[in-house]
Amino acid sequence: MPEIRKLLKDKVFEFGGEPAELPSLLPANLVLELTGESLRQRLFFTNDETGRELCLRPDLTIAAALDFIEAKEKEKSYLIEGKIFLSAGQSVKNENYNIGIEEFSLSQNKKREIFLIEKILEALKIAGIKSGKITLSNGGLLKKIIENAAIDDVWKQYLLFAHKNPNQLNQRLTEAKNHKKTRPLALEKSLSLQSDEEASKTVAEVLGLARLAIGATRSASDIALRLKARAAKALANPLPETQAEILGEIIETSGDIASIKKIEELSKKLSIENSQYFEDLRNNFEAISKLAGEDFKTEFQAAKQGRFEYYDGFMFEISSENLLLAMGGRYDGLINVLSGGKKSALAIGAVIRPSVVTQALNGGKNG
Amino acid sequence: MAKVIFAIPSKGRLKTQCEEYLAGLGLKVRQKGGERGYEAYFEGIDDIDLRLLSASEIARGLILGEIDYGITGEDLLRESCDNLEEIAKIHNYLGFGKADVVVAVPNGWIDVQNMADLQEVSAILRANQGVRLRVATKFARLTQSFFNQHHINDYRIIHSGGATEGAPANGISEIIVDITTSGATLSANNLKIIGDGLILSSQAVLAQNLARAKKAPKSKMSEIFK
Repeated sequence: MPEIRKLLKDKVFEFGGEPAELPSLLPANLVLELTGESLRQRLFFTNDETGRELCLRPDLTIAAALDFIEAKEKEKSYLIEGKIFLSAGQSVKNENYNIGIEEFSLSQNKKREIFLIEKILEALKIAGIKSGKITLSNGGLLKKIIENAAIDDVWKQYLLFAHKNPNQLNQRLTEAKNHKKTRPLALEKSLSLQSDEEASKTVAEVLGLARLAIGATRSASDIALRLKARAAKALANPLPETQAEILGEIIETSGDIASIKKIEELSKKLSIENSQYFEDLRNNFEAISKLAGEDFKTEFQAAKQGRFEYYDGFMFEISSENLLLAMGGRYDGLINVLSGGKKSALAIGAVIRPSVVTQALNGGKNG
Repeated sequence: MAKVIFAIPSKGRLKTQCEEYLAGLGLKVRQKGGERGYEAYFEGIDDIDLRLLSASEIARGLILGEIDYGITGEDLLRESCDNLEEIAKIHNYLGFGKADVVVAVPNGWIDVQNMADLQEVSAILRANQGVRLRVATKFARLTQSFFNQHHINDYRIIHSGGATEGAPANGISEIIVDITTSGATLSANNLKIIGDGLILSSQAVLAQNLARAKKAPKSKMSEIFK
C-alpha cells in the first residue's frame, strides 16, 4: 500500500497548495453539528483536561476548515494526508487513511472544480483503476428548484426544510399531496389574523399569563410564526398532484447528460426558467465525462445525500467494484457556519481513500 | 465447580421487590453482613453465585456476558445495545420498577404537540439559526432509534450525567429524553411530555445472557427457566 499511497499523493498534490499537518482531535460538538447523530456510533470520543468532549477527526475537511478559520490568511489551499478515524463500516476493512485537497478562497471559477476532479481521476488511473463510475450531483439543486417553483408558499416552506434529505422530501411531498383541510386551533386562527409583530406579542402575553417556560433558544416570535404557519397549512389546499409528481420525478431523476435536460424541462413545468444554471450543469457534466473517458461511466443524480451535509454545490463520487474510492465537492457555507459568521470563504475539496483503492484493485476483496 | 452467576439490584425498593419475587420462585435471598453487606446467597442453594450490583452494572454485565442471569430495568438493557434479542433473553417482565422513557419539551412550546411538530421545529432551527436541536439524555441509543423512526435528523445528543430535567432551564439543551414515573419532576421543571413521545414503557425484567446459556452448568435456574 505505501506505493499506491505515493502514486496517489504525488498526482493529487499537483492540484497545488501547501502540505499541512492537521489536528487529530476536534471539538466533538462541532463535528456532531455537521454530521448529525447518524455518525455518532462510528466516532471515537475522549475529553480534554477541562472535560470538553473531543473526537478523533472523522474526515479531513472539517479539520482543514477549523484550521483555516484560525489562520490569518483569507485564502489557503491545503494538501493533506493522514488518518481519519471511523469505526469499520460494512464493506471496508480499514477506512483510516485519506489523501485530500481543500481549497478556501474569495473567488473561484468553475474550472477549479473540473481541475479538482481531473487530478483525482488521473491519480486513480495511475494507481491502476481502469474503470468505474462517476456520480455527479449538486447539493443546492433541489433547494433552488423548490425556492423558485410556482407552488403555494405554504408547501414551498414545508418542502424546503427537507431539501437535503431525499427520503424526507419524498415523505413530505406525499403528505402535501394528501393533505386534507382541517380547522385550525382557536389560538392559531386568531394569530393568523394578526401581523407577525402582533402575533408575537399575543403569544408572549399568553405564555406570561400561564407562566409557561420556553427556554433560551426559541422565542415567543418563533412560536407565534409557527402557529400562524400551522393555521395557513391547515387551511391550505393540498399540493396539486401534478406538481407533486413533477417534484417527485425530479428527485428520482438520474442518468447521463440527458437527465439534466429532463430536470430542466420538468422545472419549466413549475415555471422555473434558469437556462444558464442548467447550461452550467451540462457543461460541467460534459467536461468531466470527457476527462473520465469511455471506461468510466458518468452519471448525474438530482438527489444525493452525502455522508456529510456540508456540500452545498457540485458534488462527486468515484466508485469501482461497488466501492467508493473518492469524493468531493463544493461547500461554500461551511466556514461561515463553523466560525459562527466570523469568516467566510468559497471552498472546494476532495479525498481519495487509498485502502479502498487497493481493495478495488483486488477485485473488491479485503486485504 | 463453576457456578451460574445471578445478579440483583443491591439496594432500595427495587431490591426488596426482587427478593419478594424470587422468594415466590423458591429462591430466598440471604445477605452476609446484614442489610449493609454486599455478599449474598440463595438459602440452601449452592450452585448459584448471587451478586448484588447496581441496576446499570447488571445491564452491562448481561450484555457483556459477565453474568448469566440478572434483574434490571428494561430501559437499561435496551440502552446498552442495539440488538438485545440477539444477546439476551428476557424471561419475565416482573411488573414492578415501572417507569417511562419519554420525550419532554418546555411547557411553553404550545406549538409542539407531537413528534411531527418536533421534526418541524428542529428543521426550522437548523434552517434559521444553523444549529441542531439539542437533546439532553442518558439514553442516547434509545433516543437515536426513536428519533430516526420519526424522521428527525436535525438534532444532537447532549449526554446528561444527572438532573436531566434541569438541562433546558440551564441552557444546556432545548429538550430532554428522560425516564419518569409520575411526571411530577418534569412538571416541576416546566417540561411537558409530547403526545406520541413515549419511547419505552420500562419495568424490571429477569434476563439471561444467551451466549453463556449455551455453556452454563446445570443449576436451580435451569429448572425454573427451561
